[in-house]
Amino acid sequence: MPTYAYILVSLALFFVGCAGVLLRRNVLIVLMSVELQLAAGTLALLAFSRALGDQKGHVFAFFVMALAAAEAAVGLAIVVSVFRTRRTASLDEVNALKG
Amino acid sequence: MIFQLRIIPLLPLLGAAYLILFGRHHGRRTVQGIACTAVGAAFVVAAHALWVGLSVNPNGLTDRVGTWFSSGDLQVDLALRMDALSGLVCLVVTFVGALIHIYSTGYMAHDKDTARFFAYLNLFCGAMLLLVLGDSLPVMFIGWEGVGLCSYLLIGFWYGETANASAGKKAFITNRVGDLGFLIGMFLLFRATGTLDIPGIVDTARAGSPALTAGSWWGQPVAFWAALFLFLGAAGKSAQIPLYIWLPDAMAGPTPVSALIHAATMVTAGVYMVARLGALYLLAPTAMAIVAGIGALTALFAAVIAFGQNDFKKVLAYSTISQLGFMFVGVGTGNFAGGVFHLFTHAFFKAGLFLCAGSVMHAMAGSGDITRMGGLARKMPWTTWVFRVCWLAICGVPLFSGFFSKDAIIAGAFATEVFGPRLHWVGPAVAAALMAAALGTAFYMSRLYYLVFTGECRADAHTREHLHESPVTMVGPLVVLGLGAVFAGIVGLPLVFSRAHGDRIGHWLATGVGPVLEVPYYVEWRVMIASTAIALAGIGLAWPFFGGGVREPARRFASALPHLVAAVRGKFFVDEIYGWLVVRPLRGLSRVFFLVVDRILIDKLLIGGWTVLADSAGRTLRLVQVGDVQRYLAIFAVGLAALVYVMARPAAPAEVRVRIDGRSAMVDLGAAADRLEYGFDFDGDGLEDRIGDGSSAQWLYAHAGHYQVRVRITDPRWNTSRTLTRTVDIP
Repeated sequence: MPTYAYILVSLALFFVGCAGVLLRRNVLIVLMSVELQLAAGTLALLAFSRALGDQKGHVFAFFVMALAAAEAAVGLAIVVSVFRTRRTASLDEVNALKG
Repeated sequence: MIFQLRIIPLLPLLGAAYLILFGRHHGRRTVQGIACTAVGAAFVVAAHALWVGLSVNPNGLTDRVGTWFSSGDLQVDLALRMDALSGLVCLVVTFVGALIHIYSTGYMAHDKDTARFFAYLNLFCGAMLLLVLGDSLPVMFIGWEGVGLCSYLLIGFWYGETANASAGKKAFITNRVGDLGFLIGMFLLFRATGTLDIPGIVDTARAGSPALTAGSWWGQPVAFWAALFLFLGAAGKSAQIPLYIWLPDAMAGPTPVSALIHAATMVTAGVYMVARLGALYLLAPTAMAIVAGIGALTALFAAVIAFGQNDFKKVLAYSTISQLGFMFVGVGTGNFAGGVFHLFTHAFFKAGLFLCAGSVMHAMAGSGDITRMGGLARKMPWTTWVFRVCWLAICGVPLFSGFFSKDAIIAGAFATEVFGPRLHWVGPAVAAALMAAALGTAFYMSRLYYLVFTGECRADAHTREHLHESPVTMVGPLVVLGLGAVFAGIVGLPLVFSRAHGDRIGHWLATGVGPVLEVPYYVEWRVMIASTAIALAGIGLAWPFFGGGVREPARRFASALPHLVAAVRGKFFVDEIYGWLVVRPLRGLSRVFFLVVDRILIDKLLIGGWTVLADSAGRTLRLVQVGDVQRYLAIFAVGLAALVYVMARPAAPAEVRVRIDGRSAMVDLGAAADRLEYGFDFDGDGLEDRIGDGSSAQWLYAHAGHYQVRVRITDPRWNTSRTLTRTVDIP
């Protein structure tokens, strides 16, 4: 498959993730959308790595996976903590820092 | 020279400093001793300097302490000078000052604030001596302000009562008006003569320098304006129309203060200053006429007001204003020696009168209401005798001191030639006014004497029982001043009596104030006869009205002309008129400034404005802080996109070099970057003349001129571009 096909899929994934992050109100969905964006980035790295015959892209893909795992752990911990205190997981209602 | 002049003012100043700093640690006796010694020693030094120093050097002694300040052409020395004039006044100040210090030890014996009182009194003497001895106008001005300060402090000495404190403020503020005049006069003199030293100014004036005689505003010479403004200062200090209003209120101070400051010394400072700068005044006959006219008017006006006053010290205060008017007529008619002579005799008899007033009030438990007195002659023989001679002296009864000095002024006014042909009528006019004022003086002073010392005592029984003669510390100075009131006139006997021994003071002062004014003998005789008649008439006329108490004719007069009497009692309502004309508009203006400038401009706009701005900015900006993480993210995304777009623009080249060779111009942007497009517009018509990927281009101009070269650099991948312009001159 040509490289642009991978890039197009990556772009599509990234925009779906963006839309999810910006538009959905449920924290869990937002977190999942962030994962989608990370996956899009990983895919782009791998595609370019293959096209250029450079192994650095693969290395970065692993980095991103490790980072995503850590982020998911921290993010979920926060979500659980917020849910415990506020009994909600909706971003609309978590606005204590409003000006 | 054994003594230095600086010692004279320094002694009382040191006394004042010591008493202010450490006075309260000492007992009453020590404080009194220090204060009296300081002034007494100053008197001894001054007398020594005058007798010994002036006989060695008749033109005067100068003591230069050092340069006070210098700036550009202006150099002011801290210098003191004693000539015949300043020496005489200096002697009066220290002598009367010392007597009044001694008197105060008795008068203020029961006051708990002795140290403060004597410190102020010493400070006053020091400042007054600085005023008198100062050799330049700024040094004089320091003394001038210093005595004003002491006047303020001592009028309000019993500051527990608001009336006293306000009287002090009134004196101070009224004097500020005059001080402004003094300052302006000083500036004018400096601009005209380039110096502020009094000898320098006097020499310039004596030489009739065009710097002073040149015409200025309204066709008057510079000397006129300088003299007029300085006279405004003198009118403030010496309580002349229109600034006399503070002096009657100043009687709120302790009586020794009234005697020293508000009768004998400070209030004569204006007369002294005019005499000191006499040469300047002689250059401006119109100013002289104004000085003499104001003096005569004040003498008459104050004498009339004195008719209606029922407070012992108020009568004397108006009498002082009136006598100061006499002195101003003296100096204003070019009869400087005459004016200073009256200053000299007045210091004795007026200080004596005030100290008698103090003695009487001391006996009357502090009350000065003459309608409650009467018959005090039997209870207070010493005081009464001193009052009698001082009364006869101020009335101008022959052979008493006031007779000679008053005559010298009136005769001088008749004989003077200083006004020139156009204003010649001024001399006789002011002389006539002074004669009327002298009649008034004799009348109101006699009224005072009769009401206080003759007849039956009208005080209540309690006060009557406690009537007593004052202690020796008070009576002693009284007697000395009484002797002065009788004999001080000897120094100025009219020339008609003895060509050889007459008018010694005039001849003596000639080195300081210029030649003696020659009065024809027939004028002298007539004036003497007339004023003798006037004095006796005034004394005699007052008897049917007030002899032994207010009599029937006085009551009939009051009921026949109630409005006139009310106007005189109310001092012609000058205070009220000033209140309407000056105080109320000023208060109104202050109120406007307070409400408009302070409340609105400063509070609301300058201070409130910023808070409103910060507040509203906060209110507006908080709308951005919605607390919605996703909206923040959206803004973040937009900002990031904008940043990427901006960063993607092609970088600006290091420099745009233009080489001009004849009509040909070569633009070079340095090394070309990859895949950028360059457009060059050389002639400023908006159309690009060269387009391509080369970073340099050349153009040949058809005409010489001024052109604007525009270079566009575009990155076609992002469609972003940057434009640079430069102007070139083609020869």
